[in-house]
Amino acid sequence: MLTTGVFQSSIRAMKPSLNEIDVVVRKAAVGVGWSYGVGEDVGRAAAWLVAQGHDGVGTAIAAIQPGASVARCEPTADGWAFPQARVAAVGLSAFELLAIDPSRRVILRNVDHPLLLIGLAGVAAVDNGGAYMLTGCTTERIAERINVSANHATFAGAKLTGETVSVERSTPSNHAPLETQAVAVIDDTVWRQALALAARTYVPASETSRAHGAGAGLTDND
Amino acid sequence: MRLSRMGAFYPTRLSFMRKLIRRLNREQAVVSRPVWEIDVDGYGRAVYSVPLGGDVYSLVAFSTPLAPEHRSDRVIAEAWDTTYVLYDGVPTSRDLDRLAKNVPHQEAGRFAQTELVLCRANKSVRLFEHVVERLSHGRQPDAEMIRRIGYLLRTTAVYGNGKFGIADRSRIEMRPALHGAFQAEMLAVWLVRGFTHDLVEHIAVVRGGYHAVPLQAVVKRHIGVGNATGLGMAPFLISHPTLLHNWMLERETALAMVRAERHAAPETIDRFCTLVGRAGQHLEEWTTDDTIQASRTHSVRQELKDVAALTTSAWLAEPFPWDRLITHAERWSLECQELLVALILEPHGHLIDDIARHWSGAQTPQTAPGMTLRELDRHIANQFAWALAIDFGSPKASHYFWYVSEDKQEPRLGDRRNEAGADQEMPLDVARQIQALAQALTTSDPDETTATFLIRRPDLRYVVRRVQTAVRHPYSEIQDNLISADCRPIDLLRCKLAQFGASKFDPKSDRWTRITLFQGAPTFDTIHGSDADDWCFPILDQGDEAVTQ
Repeated sequence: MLTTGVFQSSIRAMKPSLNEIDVVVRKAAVGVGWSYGVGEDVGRAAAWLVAQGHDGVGTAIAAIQPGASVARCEPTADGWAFPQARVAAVGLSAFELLAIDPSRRVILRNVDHPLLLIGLAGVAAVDNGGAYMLTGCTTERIAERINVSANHATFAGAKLTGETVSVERSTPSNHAPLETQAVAVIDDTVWRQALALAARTYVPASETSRAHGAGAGLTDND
Repeated sequence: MRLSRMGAFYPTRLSFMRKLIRRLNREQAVVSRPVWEIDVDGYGRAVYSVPLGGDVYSLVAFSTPLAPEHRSDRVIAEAWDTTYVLYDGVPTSRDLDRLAKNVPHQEAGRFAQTELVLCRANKSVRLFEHVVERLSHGRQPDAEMIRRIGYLLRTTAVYGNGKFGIADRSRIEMRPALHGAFQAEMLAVWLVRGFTHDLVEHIAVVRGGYHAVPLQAVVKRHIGVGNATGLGMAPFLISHPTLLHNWMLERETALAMVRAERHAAPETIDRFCTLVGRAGQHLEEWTTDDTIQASRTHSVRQELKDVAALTTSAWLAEPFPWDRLITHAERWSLECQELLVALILEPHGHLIDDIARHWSGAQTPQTAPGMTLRELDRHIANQFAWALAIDFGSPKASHYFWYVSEDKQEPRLGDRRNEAGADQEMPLDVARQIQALAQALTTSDPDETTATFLIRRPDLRYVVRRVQTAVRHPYSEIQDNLISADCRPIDLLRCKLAQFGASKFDPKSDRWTRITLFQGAPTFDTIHGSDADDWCFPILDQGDEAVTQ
């Protein structure tokens, strides 16, 4: 079963590097049918979440499963609103809209995977150095550097199945060091699922491919 | 930046190996060998440790028997003569036992964050046995074989940045000792080279007893590490546009600074003239069976004679000698032009060695959400005219597709019309994507922002990001069609390998090459010397010591 809250390590678990998580989740998204650019965003969000101790992989894999992905964005009196917020499809767009006008806010309704939205907020914060408040999702201010032990409890208590989230720009409030390795371990079943989806982007081996595709020489015993 | 020029690059003093060697020399690094458990046949394990920048790094080496039929330089190989990790610290016996169960299996093993680099190398069968045999009989190896081959082992993959569970680059990127691109990987390969020297001397002593002799210092210094490289390097350059930009920015800035020098000091002129002579001999020692490279090398040998004739002390003593020389070089081949870039940068270390201190990191490409589509369209017109000019109606323009094989995820190139798999194409078709974006913009509101455009067109997110990255990083894109029938992937490989500092490119096809790394570089014994940085265009007879036979 995929988890959406704070990740609890299982008996069968492994600890991939953050780069592996980024790459495998990106490929998995592409393997499911998402565009490469969206795959990049989801992969980075998964790695960011894992670095904070959360189940970024399980969340991302759940969020990229096939389904409607047509995004609709409506202007509101003080910003924009997504009536059907499929996070994998529109998540980073919410933060990009706020980059145009930081004084406004973005409302996401019917949010399917709030934890991934937190991950994408982390990615946006890393990219632009800002911070975000995700009211209705977590009380933690999401910045490039967040306090892992503090946000663990906050995220755990957050309404991670929330239907409506209000996103606003904020300013970074702390300077916890960036994680430099994956903090969370990954459930083996979830990781295998991610690898299986990623493998959809690989081309089956053939004799022609093996012989000519890489262009290597015939002998290496020289 | 065109493929043809990238495919003519030479290593320079800004190459990653040169930077590492300067750092090792500056810190007077001392390599120790705390573990040497190698048996009479040369099999077993060894550990080399070197303190650097306040941390200690250890190469853990495993040498194992390998049947000739299993010796392959391909990624799809499953066994190797030797395998290695660069370990962060000094491994305990328990660490070594864990590594012994994983390192020889390479991609099939599993690693921890204490492992920084994973690599393997196969013997150059022709040279390894020859050197052991000669040393065991008290003789030095044949000088001609050393010149022609130049290495005892050939690395076939060097993995970093989180592959198979090893440490993410973020673990080490802030350490001054490993600051800059691929410094951990280069350190690992330099230590591997030292292991290859020790390995042949060890086996020679076992075989020859008191008759055996060690490698003569001048010979040892000329023995580098080989490397076989395929298509895996090519996608890296495309997927790291800001890194590529930074490398080129460093090179172009250094070149501009040297060209701006009004006068050349007499010692700089002497140094340049000496290097021209050495480069000529180096080119004579560079052999390859590849007809295209052999022809280019032949041409550049002739052109270098013209360079030598032109660049008299009097000619170089006139104002702006280096600018005049680079301008004059436009009449020569790209190969000669790039050789001259390396040659004129070489005597100017005091001017250029530190210019890239703040550029070597790779920023993740980002969108500029507030950019209007009018601005985006203008940037495409300004910076991607080369892409818009390609006629993708011609089958030749989209002849190839890049893909990842399920065979150990080896990157490969396929013929779109005759091979299956184009539906899993990697996004290296940048020019074609640029055209798709430009087409989409023709039906969009020019005042719309990128942010709202991408909500409607998430399929174009990747290429929008590339265009907007190129606005801030003008060297980030290779201005050629990478899926054209005319594309020679080996040009990409040469560019990246030259950045590493590789020499003696020996292509085996248009998508596979062998090279030599660290040839002429200081050894563990000579890293402290005052000549530690003097190893560009290495030749066997360099220095005062004669080669004995």
